[in-house]
Amino acid sequence: MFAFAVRRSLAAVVMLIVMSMVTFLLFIASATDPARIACGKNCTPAQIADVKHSLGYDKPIYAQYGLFVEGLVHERNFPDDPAIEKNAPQTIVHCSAPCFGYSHINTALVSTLIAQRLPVSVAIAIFAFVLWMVFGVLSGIVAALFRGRWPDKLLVGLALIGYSFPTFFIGLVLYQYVALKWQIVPVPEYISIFHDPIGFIRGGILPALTLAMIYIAGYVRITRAYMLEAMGEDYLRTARAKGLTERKVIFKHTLRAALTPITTIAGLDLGALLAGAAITETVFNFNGVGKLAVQSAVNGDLPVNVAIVLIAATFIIVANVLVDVLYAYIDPRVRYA
Amino acid sequence: MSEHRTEGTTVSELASNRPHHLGETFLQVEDLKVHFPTEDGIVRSVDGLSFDLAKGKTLGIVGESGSGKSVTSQAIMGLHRRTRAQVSGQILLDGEDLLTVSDARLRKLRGNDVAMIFQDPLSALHPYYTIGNQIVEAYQVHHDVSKSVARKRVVEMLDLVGIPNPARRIDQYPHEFSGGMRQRAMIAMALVNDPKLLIADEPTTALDVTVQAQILHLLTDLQQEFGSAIIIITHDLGVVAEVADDILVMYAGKSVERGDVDTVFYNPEHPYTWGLLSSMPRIDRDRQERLKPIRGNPPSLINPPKGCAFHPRCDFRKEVNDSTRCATEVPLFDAEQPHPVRCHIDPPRRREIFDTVIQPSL
Amino acid sequence: MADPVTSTPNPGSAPTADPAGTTADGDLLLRVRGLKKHFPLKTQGLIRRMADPVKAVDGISFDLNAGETLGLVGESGCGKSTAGRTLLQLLEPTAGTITFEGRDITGVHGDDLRHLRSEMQMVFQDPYGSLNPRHTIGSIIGAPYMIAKTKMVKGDSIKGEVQSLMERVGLNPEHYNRYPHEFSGGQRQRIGIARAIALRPKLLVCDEPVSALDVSIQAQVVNLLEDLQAEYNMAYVFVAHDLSVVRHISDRVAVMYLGKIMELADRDVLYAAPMHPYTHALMSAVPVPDPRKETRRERILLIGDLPSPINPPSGCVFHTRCPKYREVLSENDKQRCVTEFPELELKAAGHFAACHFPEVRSDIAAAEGAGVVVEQQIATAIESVAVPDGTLGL
Repeated sequence: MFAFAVRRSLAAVVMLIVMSMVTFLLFIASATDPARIACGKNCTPAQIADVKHSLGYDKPIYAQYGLFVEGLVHERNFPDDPAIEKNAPQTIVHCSAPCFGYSHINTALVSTLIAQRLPVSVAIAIFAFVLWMVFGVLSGIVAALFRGRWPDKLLVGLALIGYSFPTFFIGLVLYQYVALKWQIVPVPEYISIFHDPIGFIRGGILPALTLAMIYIAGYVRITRAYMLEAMGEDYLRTARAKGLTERKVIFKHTLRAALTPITTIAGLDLGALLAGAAITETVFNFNGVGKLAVQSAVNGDLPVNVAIVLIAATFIIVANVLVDVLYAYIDPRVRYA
Repeated sequence: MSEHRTEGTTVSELASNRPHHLGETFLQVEDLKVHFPTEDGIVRSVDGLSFDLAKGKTLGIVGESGSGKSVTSQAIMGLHRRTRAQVSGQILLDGEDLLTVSDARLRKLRGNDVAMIFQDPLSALHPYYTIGNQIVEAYQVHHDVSKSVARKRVVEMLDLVGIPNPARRIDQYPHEFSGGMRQRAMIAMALVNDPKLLIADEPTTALDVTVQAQILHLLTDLQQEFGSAIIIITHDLGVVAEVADDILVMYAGKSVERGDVDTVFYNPEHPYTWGLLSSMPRIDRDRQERLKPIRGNPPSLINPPKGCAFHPRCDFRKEVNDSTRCATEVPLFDAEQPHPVRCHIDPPRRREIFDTVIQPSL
Repeated sequence: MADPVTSTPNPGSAPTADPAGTTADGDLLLRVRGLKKHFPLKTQGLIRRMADPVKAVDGISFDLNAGETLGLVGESGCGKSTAGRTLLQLLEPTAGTITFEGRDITGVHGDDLRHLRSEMQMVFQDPYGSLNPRHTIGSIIGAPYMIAKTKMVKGDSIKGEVQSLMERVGLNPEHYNRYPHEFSGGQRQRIGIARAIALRPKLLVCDEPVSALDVSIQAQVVNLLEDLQAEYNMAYVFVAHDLSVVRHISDRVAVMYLGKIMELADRDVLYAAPMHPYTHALMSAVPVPDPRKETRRERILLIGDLPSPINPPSGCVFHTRCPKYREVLSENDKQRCVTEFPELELKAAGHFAACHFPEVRSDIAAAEGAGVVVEQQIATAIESVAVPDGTLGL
């Protein structure tokens, strides 16, 4: 088990290194000159060359990647020029690990930008995760237990509706009616949960619900399907034949089998969401990583783009490893091979 | 039977003090019908089945897939409750009708008075719980004892059914057991509450012959010790020949012939029984030139043939005086008789056909 | 033992000599020598090396004549199905040679393999899983014609061919456009057989072809297979666990245990006087539909479970469960069973066994005459047998 976890983690590290190389290629593959964008609209060729030099874009690709990695694990200075460092140290921007680069457009270090925004995205993602696990899974269980009868039809129907509306539409409707018109909750804003838990919930409920909606809809259907599959298993017949109560048959024998695969799907979904939900954050004007991603894509802020892709990939890879290890732990049949 | 045990318990100690009432009828099935409504029509899986069983006896229910034999066993366990199945008739266990008792009462009887062994022990055991956990649970449902007491009992049971190192293997998962060991564990689970009736639904079909021999041997041994009545459901005539006292042959949801094991094997009177016996290749006899299959295909249970369900496949319809009856009139089956046969052919003629035509070619 | 056909008993033969016997007459169609199929496994630790493989088939040899049926029997996990698939190159053999009509076909691929497939075909156990539910049976049975390209015929003549084939195997040709789910189990197996014989192969490997079918239908399919064999002179390798069916259909029977052939003989000889204690035990375990015989029948209960094919027992792989080893043999003889691997050798005319101490016909006759019952108490029968903890792929 331990060996499996270690081996799986090592594989993930290799995967991350490959990912960092691929994302780094964004710089090269990009149609525009990153230095030109970093410099601004009215730059002379000399100024561009200057920016190029100060950001290290004049170096060969492998050297740039080397600096990029060095920044990630150690530290980096902009511009990386010993002469300037000696003469005018105040013009140097020091970037400590993990350094994702410097955003000229925002005139800030990428790591600083992300550090400000990541907590917003993570908090909303986890809030949404709780909502969809509770409502989606519960509804799925209820639908399966009432298969073919009205609660089932109602829940599956609602799920289908939830599934068919686009996120921005749901977000706007909730914003417009629940917050502005009926004023059931205050206008959504991000408040740190550590600072004011109640305020966090009141301010974050609408974005979290918007984000969760499509997952709730999906999880109703997935849970229902796994429940029905488990309910058809021979071992439930055995459990009933033992004389167990129906409650025990459902809660001990059926749920265990039905929820195990859902755990893994949920882990992966959460991992994918942690690095920001672009639409939801934009609709509710939350300063999360998702909104930052949209802005930087529009502005061609390549260092920020690269950083966000890398972080998103990291979350997904780490979630994968955790889910694999978790699954091996909860399903005794899985051998760590 | 006790040399192998290390704990010093014997079967008779484990068998508690329940007296054996051999010969006393305590399971009585009357006109049992189990119908499943489907989009294509009503599937008449069991359609008017009657039989009874005495304590300490073994009844073999024989039939092919779709004959209704497994559905019958599930009806006795009350496993059709809360499903779409329409069940009617009576299933009297010690005079108590299992079809009408309350859910709570049924749960008390299930696993305690009536227990069941299923065909495929791998799918019948929960993959996420240890063998011990599952059997302990079965014991604790019916006995208000602590987990450690239940566990001790389970170790004894595992030992009794011949699982080596029971104290260690109790904590293993079903997938860590071999097929034969899993079926032993299922038997231990079924017997842990000392049931009066054990239903074994194709208990050895998924097993190899050498393991099958072990399991059948185990069942008969345990029956002698515990005095349970056993219903063994199988398609394998060899298995019933080995363990059954009485045999009930089913076809298309109905009983077609019933009798004690000698009668059914040596003086069978139903053409379907003849067909089963003739179509089997035999390991114990010289090879026949050709097998003698029953022609045609098994009947639809939604639109079973009118009259005798077997008549489209029957080679002996011309033996009936008015052979149109086979296609119009369901032959009677008098369950009170010692050897009832559901066939329109006159009984003396049936015996004659068996003696002159069937027997010589077996 | 240069010539397997004319070889005589030779207890001291080298392990490479392979006598897997055939009758002296008849056309040799298939010759298998030292065939092995091992499935690799990896170790469980932090650094994963190749562990001992699963020795599913571990050096089997036999000959098969044209038009002959060889039964391959054994318990689940003995390697009989793997052997059948390896013969057809559905699995790549690890070692050994397969000679078909005098040509070495071990490891052929590409066009050669495709051509070979028209000569050797397979009938599968599961008539539900082995037919594509989205194809009509006309296209399932007709597919071999299209693939093999040996008979380049236009669409409608393929249809005619398929329909006559359907009629031949007892299906209604008008059902040409129906889908597999519209047929019963027995009919589906007929479809599978029609597909397999479409190109008139010379060899048909039947992998448990009747074990999923009801008794009354089994007999129909067995009869069909026999008729087709007589008509097209096909040779069958009939893989099955049901000893009664194998007895009926086979000319010769090979009994497998843990990847090896334990005994190989003419059907009647084998069933009347098995030499290998395993064969003997296997046969005695089959319940017979005759209650009186059943009660006084000699029965040998084998103890425990099948050992792991990853670490098979040393010497004779059967010695851990062998009743003769346990009860009859002296310590010296036992030592031989534990250390020395018994080769499959000719012990009597046409009768091969892999046993140091085979049963002799007179012993059995004497035992039966005296009414000896060798029944083991099930209680003593169970030994601690290591079960491979899910290493076989769960």
